[in-house]
Amino acid sequence: MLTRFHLELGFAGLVLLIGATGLVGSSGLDFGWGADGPRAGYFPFRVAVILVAMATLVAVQAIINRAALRRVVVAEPEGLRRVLGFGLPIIGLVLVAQWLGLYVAMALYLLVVIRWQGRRPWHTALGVALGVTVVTFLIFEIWFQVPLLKGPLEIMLGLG
Amino acid sequence: MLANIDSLMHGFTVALTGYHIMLMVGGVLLGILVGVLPGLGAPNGVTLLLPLTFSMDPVSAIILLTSLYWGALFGGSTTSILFNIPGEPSSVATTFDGYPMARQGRATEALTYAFLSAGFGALVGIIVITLLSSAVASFALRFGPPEYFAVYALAFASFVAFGGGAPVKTIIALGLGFGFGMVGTDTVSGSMRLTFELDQLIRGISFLVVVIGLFGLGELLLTIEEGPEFKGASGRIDPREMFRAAARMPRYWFAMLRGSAVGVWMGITPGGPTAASFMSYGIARRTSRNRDNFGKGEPEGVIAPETADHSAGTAAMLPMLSLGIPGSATAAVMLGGLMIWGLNPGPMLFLEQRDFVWGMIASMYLGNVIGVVLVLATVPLFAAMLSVSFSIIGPIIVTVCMVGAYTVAGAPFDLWLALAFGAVGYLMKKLDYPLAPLILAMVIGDKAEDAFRQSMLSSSGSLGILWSNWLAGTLTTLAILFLCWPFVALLLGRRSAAEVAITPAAGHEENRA
Amino acid sequence: MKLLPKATLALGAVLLSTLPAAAQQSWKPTRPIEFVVTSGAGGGTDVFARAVQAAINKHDLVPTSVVVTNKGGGSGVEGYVYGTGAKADPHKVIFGTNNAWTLPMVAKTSWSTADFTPVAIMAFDEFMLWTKADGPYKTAADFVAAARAQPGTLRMGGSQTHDTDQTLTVLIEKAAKIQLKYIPYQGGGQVGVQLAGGHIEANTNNPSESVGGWRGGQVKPVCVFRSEPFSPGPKVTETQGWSDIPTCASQGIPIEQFSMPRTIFLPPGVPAAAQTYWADLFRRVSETPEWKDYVTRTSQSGRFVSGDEMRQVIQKEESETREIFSEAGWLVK
Repeated sequence: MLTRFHLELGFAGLVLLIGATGLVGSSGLDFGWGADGPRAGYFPFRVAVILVAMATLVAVQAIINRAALRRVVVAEPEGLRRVLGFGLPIIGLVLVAQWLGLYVAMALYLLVVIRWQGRRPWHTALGVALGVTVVTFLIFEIWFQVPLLKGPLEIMLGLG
Repeated sequence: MLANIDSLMHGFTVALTGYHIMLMVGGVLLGILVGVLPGLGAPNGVTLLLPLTFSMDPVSAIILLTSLYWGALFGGSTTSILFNIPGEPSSVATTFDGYPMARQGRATEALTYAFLSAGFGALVGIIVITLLSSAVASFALRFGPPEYFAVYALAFASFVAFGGGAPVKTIIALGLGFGFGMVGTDTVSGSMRLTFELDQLIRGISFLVVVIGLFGLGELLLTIEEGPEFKGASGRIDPREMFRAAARMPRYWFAMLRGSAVGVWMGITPGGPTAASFMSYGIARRTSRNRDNFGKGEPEGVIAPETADHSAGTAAMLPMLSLGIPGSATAAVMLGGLMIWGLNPGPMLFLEQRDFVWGMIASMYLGNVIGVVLVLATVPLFAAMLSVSFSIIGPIIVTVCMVGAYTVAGAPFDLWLALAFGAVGYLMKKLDYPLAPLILAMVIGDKAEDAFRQSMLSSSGSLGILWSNWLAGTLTTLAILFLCWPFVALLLGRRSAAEVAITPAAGHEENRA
Repeated sequence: MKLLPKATLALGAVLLSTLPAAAQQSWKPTRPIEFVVTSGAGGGTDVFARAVQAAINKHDLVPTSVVVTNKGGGSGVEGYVYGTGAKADPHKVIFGTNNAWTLPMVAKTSWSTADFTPVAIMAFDEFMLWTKADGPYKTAADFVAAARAQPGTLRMGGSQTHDTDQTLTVLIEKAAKIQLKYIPYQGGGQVGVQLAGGHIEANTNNPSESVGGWRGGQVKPVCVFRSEPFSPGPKVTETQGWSDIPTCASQGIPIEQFSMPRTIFLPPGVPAAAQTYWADLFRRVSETPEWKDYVTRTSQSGRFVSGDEMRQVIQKEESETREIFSEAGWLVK
């Protein structure tokens, strides 16, 4: 069970990490105030410092209030399971899109998610998957001439 | 002024032909389509039509392109309200109250408010252009780097300072927004910042990809956690609800006027529609009698950003024509078109190309009326989408988000970015971090920094330049006063220290905004 | 644009095959073509690419469709990165300026100019020195004298950092022995308006970027960076035409010639036949009335350069630029 305490700490950690990355990134730049105003790194460096400081503050306050925060449940196991069940296929979609292109990936994603997660009959799943993909192709590729990510299949078909 | 009205009448004789009205209808329809789809925006629509216009008369060409722009501005609000995915950057602020309204089963009402107030805002913008064209152009010339900076600072201060919420978390959200906005090439020094020598980061982190992740995907995750179906979204569409909502509109006359004033101001100055909608929302949340209801589905929270967005969008056409300043990406493409048609933006355009300029201004009146009518006609269609089961519409929204994220820059890397921001958006919502300051910081942080450093270059590092004339001085002082407000409130003991930090209670009012 | 009548397409194909050069060609486009623009929408390079696209569409010069995409991130680095990603794909054509060789000098890029296949330079955009119309500097000589009297205070605006505008500013400083204060903005249009509003004292805009302001009495050109004035043409304002503007060299800024090439490249590793195909195609584009119209309207010098001649131009420009950049301390590697 996920309590607010853990989530607060976790997100503060993420912010801390982002802030630290910013510190590393801006330390390579000149972060002073020169004769003609602030240098390239002036604002990035200060923003990174503020992020690190504020993240620490949130973490400290979370620890001080831990008794209260531990009692607050932010997500029930059932809800979390649904979030993961919905989120993981999206990661799959992005992964597949990197090498098979966006069209193939979205068709597969829609088919799989609607068939197995939505427990819809095959014809619904297939219909939605193909319909959405074809409509997207027509609107973007043909009509508005905005090329989307393509993979080996489209190139084979001479569409890419 | 009278001469302008005369010119306008002349413009109507140019604009009001069957052919032009046909172009307006076509342009508006196409615009609504690109506006609704997060992957496409007004700039895509305009670039698509640009080759077609090469063989057209410039007046017809600009009427077609501007009508498309109005259509896209209207369409952009639709997905903001229905799915929390802004179709256009300038409709981000519409999600704050529009989406909660839709979730309470008031989608039709919210869409009606949005479109009617948008139409009202546009009308105010056009009237200002018509009456004050010459004065506005010379006013816009007064804006150098210090004034630019002051305008951004004021927009920023009025949104952030007028909001409630837990200051520590607001500061984190702001810091993240500023930080993400800084990635990429630094305008002033020309060096790469925070790119870690990754090719994918050279163009910077796109604000649209972040919005798609934080709002679109993040909201989907929240929705699915609460249950497998859209909560509260009623599938029943009652066209009469549209008329009832329209009849209630006059009640919000003050909100509409205030929003239009903010919008016209930001359209004439270099603020732009996106910053205008945030600023207007911020001021409304502070001054409205219903301020406690903001973020929970308050009609004024829809009306305020929509009027400002559209009045800014229309008012910005004036500096574009008379000075060649593109107020938005769309305007930049139109300016390119102007050059290809053989017209040069500049003060002489108003004297030498009366047919073109006044024909266009006249078409803006009609184009926006057509826009409101057509977009209202689509309300039942879009509202019907809410009745589709989430197990089907949910995955479709995911693919729309991904296509949208990809089209921003045509980069596969942005898909990962959108995904990551989806997760971050979910977590931030769970922990009552406000999302709006992050977005606002991304939108104007970068521009404000450029303007600030350009000012410092000018003055050799002296801050005095921000008060070097009454215009910059007044704006800067106002911005500082606004910004200091929360600290004053804090000192007056309106919040206890513990509340200020992280407890859910303090952050709750910021839930949506 | 997509739905061309079949007959027109067929006619285009027939015309294409009757041309002598077509006989040796072993390559022609089979898939949709992408014009990659290394600037944002509405920028000078964007208008350039779209003018080419318009001429191609009008005369049906290629058998497939042409899409223009803007990849202007990182001052154009994004477009070239995208080009290296499309290795050996002759369906991607990259439109740029001298940024093809200046960018790798001032930024750490994962590509170098030599990676790309040069196709053509289609025009050279001219530069002028502009001042505020009702300002104190009536001539370039006035401006130089004022800059000399108060070193480092006159503000010169430009469209970016370490770009052609700033390069020219450095050259002006050296040639006229003055010091200016360079302020980078975003795009020539904005720089023009900043000058009109009196927020800077001068800029080095291209003629097309400020012609509107000149006609409107906001800004005026005081000299042109050419070896001789423009050839006589129609009046631009009531009293003056481009040809009435003296050369900068005659005004105390001894710079003979400064212009910016409008370049076209192909991705690395494309077949030689494709390079020939495109060079030939763009030569034909440069002969269309639409193209000539674009060049005249934007007051550029339309000179078509390809093949070895283009390599020489690039080599010369590159070494000259490198020298200026290294002296100014802008080089990154």
